[in-house]
Amino acid sequence: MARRRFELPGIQDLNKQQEEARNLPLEGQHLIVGGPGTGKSVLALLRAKRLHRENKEYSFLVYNHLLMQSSKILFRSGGSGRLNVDTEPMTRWKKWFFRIFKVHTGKKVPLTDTESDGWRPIIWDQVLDIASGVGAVNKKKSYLVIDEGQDMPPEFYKCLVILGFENLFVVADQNQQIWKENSTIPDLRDVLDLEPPDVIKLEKNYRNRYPVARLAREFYTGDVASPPPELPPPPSHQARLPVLYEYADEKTVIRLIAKMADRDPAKLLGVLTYKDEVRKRIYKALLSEEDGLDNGRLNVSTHSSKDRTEVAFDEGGIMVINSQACKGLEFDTVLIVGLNDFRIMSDDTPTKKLFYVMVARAIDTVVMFKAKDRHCPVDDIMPNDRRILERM
Amino acid sequence: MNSKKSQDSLNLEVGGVASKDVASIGEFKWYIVTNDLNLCYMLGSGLLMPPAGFGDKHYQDTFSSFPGWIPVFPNAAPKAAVEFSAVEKKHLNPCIVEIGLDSLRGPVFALDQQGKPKEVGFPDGVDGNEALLLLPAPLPATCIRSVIFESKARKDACTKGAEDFKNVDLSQVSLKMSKTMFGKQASDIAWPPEINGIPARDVPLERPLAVGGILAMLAQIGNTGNLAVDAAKLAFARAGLEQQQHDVKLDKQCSEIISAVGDWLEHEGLGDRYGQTARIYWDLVECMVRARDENEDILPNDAIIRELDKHKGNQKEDVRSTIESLIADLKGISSLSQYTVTELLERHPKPLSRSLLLFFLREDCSAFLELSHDALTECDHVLAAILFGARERWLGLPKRLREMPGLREACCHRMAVLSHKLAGTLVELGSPPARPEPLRELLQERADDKIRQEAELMLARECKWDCVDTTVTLGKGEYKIKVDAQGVNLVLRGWPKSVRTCADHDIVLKNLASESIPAKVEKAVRDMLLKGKPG
Repeated sequence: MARRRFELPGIQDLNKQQEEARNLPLEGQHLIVGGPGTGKSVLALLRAKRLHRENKEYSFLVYNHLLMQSSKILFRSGGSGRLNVDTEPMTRWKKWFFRIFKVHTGKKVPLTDTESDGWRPIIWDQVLDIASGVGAVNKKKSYLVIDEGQDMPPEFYKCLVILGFENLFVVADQNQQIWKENSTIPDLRDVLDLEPPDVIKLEKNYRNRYPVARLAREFYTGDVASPPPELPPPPSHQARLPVLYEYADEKTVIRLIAKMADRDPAKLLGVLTYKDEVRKRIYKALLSEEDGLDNGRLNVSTHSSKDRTEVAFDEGGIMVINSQACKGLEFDTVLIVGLNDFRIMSDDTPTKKLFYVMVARAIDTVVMFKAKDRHCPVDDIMPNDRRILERM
Repeated sequence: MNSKKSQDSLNLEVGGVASKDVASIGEFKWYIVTNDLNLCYMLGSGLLMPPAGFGDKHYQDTFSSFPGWIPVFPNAAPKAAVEFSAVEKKHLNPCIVEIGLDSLRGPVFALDQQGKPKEVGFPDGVDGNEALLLLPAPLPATCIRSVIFESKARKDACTKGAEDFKNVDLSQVSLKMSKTMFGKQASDIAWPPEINGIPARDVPLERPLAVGGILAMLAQIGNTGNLAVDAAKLAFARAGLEQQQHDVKLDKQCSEIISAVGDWLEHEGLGDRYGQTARIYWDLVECMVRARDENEDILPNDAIIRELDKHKGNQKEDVRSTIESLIADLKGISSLSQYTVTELLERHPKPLSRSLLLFFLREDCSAFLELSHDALTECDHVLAAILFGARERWLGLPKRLREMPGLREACCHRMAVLSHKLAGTLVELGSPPARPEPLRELLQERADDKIRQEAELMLARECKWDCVDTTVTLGKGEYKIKVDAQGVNLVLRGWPKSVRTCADHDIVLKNLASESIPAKVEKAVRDMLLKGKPG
């Protein structure tokens, strides 16, 4: 399989805001806020690399398995291949929290008896009571780096502070909350005891090309605590736009995606679907595509929230996942398949947030595929301006 | 400032050639004062350059006080200049950088102890009583002799910070710690000094940086074939302002495009001396440089499509339709094109179109260097390498693409020389360091037969190439083949007359052209070819 190359940034790639965040002292509480593509995760990874180089005891916490896998690959990347470094400190926040809570309080994290979305929620009141009972028992000089910090609830941070964790580097974006439990930026500021000027705001989008960032802006729902990143300056000439492609036959879609992947096997294409059955169907169809391709069979993978298998983010190919699982990830191209399946409730904000997050995963371009002659509820939130979204 | 203005404002009377014995100022030490982040940026870019070269990322330092000039302090750095260079942000670490000026000749400004500026020729006009010299920027970053920090903590902060970047290599410079240079030995000159009469200079940087990228990429693909070697010879010679002429061979169209490299990099304009294809190709390279130079917000790929669009208008119908089809295919590459790479190459058989396809198919130099396809010609590769180098520039190249022995010195020097030539400063920086020769060239031209064969064997062994033959010359007789669990043994009675093992020269060259050689192996083979033994 073609190896995808993850590079450290060049000195010219980080701006002064990012440098300020990169150069924050290792000790203390720090909060970095910025929209998609502003380099938050890069800064979190650079921080983790620095802690690793300096042999500090640290943990790098993320929300879900996919993001953890992606972070591990980025952490190990050395430009010309994988470095043999320990990625054990990189873990899902709940797993880490359950362990650390037991270590420090001697008790298990209290959970409700009933499941919600397949999980038994944490009873945070009881967690905080137990933590307050033992106080600041963490005497080790440990460091926490937290990516997508808005996804963890405020009580989690409160508990950390009560237990005596003093060195926290949190990166967050309130506009990318697509989970129920989460923290707002004021929550985080409050619990980390930071004044507004102490929060570093990253404003410039470095990931997305202008046309992608411009399309993402169409789905921005507005939040003053976490403003959208500045759009890259509009180019004086833009030749390539995101596309909304209408198809009569899904086979055409599969063929186009297969050829796109085949042209550069080192690129990672993210195919995002709304329904799990579509995810499985597209995955299966792409797996069997090989005729007439230069490189033969494609490297196609899929992943659902139940999987705990290792995901090869450092290999090019196609990753087919559900739309909810894409947060924090980065793809060269995002392909949203089955546009007709997405739903809009009475308030379109959640759907817009989801599209904001999906579109902003793309570095280079976005293609949305919509079946002809079928109702498409999200048509209402799609921009009609052909300078933003080309229709084919 | 353009080159004419630069010369006028300096009212130059001094020539570039020194008549004074350099040894008389050889005891001087020359220092510049900056901070660790600016230093890292300059190491990344390969040039000691003015704030204008940093985009939005220059932190106030002594260079800020005289735009376009490099403030150089003889023997000691002023305390105030050190403070001035680290005041913008808490996280900056000031540093004093010792530079070597042995090869520098030309007009500079010298400030006496009273702060009065005077135009002098370096080194002739310098007597050691100056408080400060202002050299026209840029200088090659390879002139850095050492970097001095006030404390170990500051030195370590710089070292650790540099590890976060793909293009900053501090292993190339000597890092030191000296409290006294920041204290007792520091001078008391006020900074910034109030001096009138120093004109601000615009320094040409974009073209030199692009040329640095082009030279590096031509060196990187040097093993591809003789055309690549010739193209590198030509480009390095012209960038170093060497007079030697190089003929580029192979097919007419390709050689014409490549032979225009010198005229392009000196910004002379190609004019009617070259055919239409060469002019279009270099216009495409130029449009990327120009967009950067003019701070235009446009991606290089989009700039290229726009430029092709412009050219389309002036063409006959058949050429126009070829360009239209090329533009459509280029746009489709990252989107919904229905073609594979093979199909695209079949649709566009000419080198110019193919180089553009490659340019759009891969996003950076590293990815391009890993691309191989049977249908591609050497000319396609060379033309694409130039486009990639111009897009990524020396600044964008990761450390591993700068590692070839001698490449950094050769490129940085030429970038600085070119900048001075374009600005017309009359500053001379000495003879250009030798161009790094690719293994292919060394194997073909440099080594005697015995060393060449040893080097080829080493390559074949280390890269596990199946191209080694062993010839055992035997006396007359009957010989047995014995097969056992260990394999097949040829059993010989007595001594063989000779045993000769060699790698197939043609296969070695063919493999060199298509495979990347691990840096360690490359170094060992290079050392063997140049020194007659592995390093």
